[in-house]
Amino acid sequence: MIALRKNGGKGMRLSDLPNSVFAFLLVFILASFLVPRFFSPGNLSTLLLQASILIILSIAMSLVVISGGIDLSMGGVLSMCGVIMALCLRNGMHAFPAIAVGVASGALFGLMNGLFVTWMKVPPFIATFGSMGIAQSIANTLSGKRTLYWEAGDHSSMLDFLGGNVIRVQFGTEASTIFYVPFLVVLTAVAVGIVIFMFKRTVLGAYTYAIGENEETARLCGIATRKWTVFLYILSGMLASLAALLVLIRTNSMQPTSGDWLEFQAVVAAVLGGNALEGGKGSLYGAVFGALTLYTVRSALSLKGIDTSATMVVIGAVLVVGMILNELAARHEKKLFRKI
Amino acid sequence: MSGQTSTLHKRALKSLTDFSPLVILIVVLVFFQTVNALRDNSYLTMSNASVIVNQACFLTIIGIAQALTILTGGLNLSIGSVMAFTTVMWGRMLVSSNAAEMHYLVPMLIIVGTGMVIGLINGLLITKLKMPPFIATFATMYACRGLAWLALGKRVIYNLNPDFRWFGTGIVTRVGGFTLTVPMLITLLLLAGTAFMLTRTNFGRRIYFTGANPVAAKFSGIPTDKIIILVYVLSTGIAAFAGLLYGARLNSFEPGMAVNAPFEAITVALIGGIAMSGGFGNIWGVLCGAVIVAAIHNGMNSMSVPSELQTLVMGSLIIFAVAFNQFLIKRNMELRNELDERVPVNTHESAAEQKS
Repeated sequence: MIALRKNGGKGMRLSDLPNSVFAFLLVFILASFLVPRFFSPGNLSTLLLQASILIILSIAMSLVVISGGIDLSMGGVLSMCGVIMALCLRNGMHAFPAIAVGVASGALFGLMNGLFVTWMKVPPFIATFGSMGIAQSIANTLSGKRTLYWEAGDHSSMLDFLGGNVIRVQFGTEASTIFYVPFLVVLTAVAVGIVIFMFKRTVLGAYTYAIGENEETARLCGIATRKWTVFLYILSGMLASLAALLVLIRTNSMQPTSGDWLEFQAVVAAVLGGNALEGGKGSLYGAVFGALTLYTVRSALSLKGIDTSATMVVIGAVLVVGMILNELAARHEKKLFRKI
Repeated sequence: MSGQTSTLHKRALKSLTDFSPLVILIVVLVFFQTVNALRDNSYLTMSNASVIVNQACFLTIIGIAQALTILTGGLNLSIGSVMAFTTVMWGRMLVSSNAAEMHYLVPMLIIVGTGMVIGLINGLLITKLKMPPFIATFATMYACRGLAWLALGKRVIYNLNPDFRWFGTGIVTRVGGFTLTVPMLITLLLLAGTAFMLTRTNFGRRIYFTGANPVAAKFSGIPTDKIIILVYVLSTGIAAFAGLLYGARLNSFEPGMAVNAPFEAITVALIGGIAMSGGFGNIWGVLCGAVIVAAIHNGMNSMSVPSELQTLVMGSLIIFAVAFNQFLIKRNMELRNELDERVPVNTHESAAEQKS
């Protein structure tokens, strides 16, 4: 399968790309033609900023999904880490240690998930489903179910910096003609880049596929499957806390419910990107484009002034169509495989 | 002699491991009883027991819907949305001002029928398009919730036909403080019917087989696709029925109702000892799971624990209950194998006894 995808080392083929790239392009081009203000510099910048939270989450989700697991606690961890960071800031802690505390708590929660899965042998779905409740509960209890704000000052100046733009190009005076690249998008790109680099250039990727394909075989091949599984859950928790930082900076406040349902959207993005829930198959790029597809649809529909409830129906339909595409591609690949 | 006692011992252990949800239930009840007794509260009274069981009824019904799909190795996330969508679509027929126009059973049948059609879509997506159940039912969940909002907007259908509300609020008898309600009877009937279907009919056995090993089931001639589609039709139909009971109790139908129902259903089914991997579990365990969840909520409310902390308790309970159930299931399998090995020896001994 891998030999097929690499095309015998003859370079990349168009069909080697995950389907979600084509789905994204299709949706994007359609939206650009059909929706008047969609293809404007301002809207594209906003789209990228909005999608970056889901991109981070779906990268984390596909890491876990490729290893044959699932992390439903992601949204809860996002809320929890965000609330912890916001509380630190509120008490006048400098932004840097506050972020460190948030990321550490995300990692700790990931460790807990990993131990539930590997040590207590609870199926990943249930373990992370249970810890979703635990994380949400911690977020609600710590924040007293209220939105948290903090006073801006010297200690939070780093957040203002992160909330700013790297580039800002004005094509006109209207908001829709201003192209900007927020620092958060750069941060997302760097994080995604690091994870993809680790995945492609270190043993992490190969081991993740091996564990997802057949954990027992991987273990017998000498891979410390438990250790790597725990590591993947820790990574997932840390990425969720990074997403929490994005939410925190973007809204300049933190709601204890901001992570609700995001884990499901991340699963949807990962699956649209061609990651099989049974594990061992998929790519991280695919998940990024899956997330972009979802946000393109959402942005286009909201610009058209279509009700959010109708958007839910459309997203359900997009999911079904995307899955049909993936299934067709899988059948095609099988046929190719048989010919060889 | 020692062999016999150890066999007896193992039999006893095996029957104990058969009732793992019951063990959890007893632990939970004893815990809340002690805590409440220490604070001079009464917990395990007849009237409170009927409150708990009444709350557990709705959980049991959605738990059955979920358990059926989990038994085939799947999952049904569309439960809550189907409850909202079907009742919102046809709920106006059940409003009391329309009571004279048609019998309330007609819209009820239409609603359950609509649920079954959505179940058919679920089943077709899963079997024909090879979508994972998680994704397929998530898509229908999203679509149904969206359609429900589209159909009714921010309005609510209220003031329902009192004859229809009897299904959700009716009281049959009072026995010494314990109020036997109509939902309890309905739940019991549904449970008994499902249990009969699962254990006594061909279809039920095939559900277990399909869930335990779909490939083996397919190769031994079981039409697994058909079984799975039927299970989703049933499951989603039951969900729509649960929506009716839910609305009857609240006297209203609204598009935002029961958002957490699929997850509550998963909790109930898993605590009830249904294995997530499929093909293992007793449907009566779902009743146990539902009573456990209702008893914990009731107990924590009596101790005035804030609701956000209750999610923490439920979350940890799921993880530990499933770990506990898994341990017991494993032990149960071991004991069953050991007992099976002894069968020829036993028959020999019993034959010798008969001769003498």
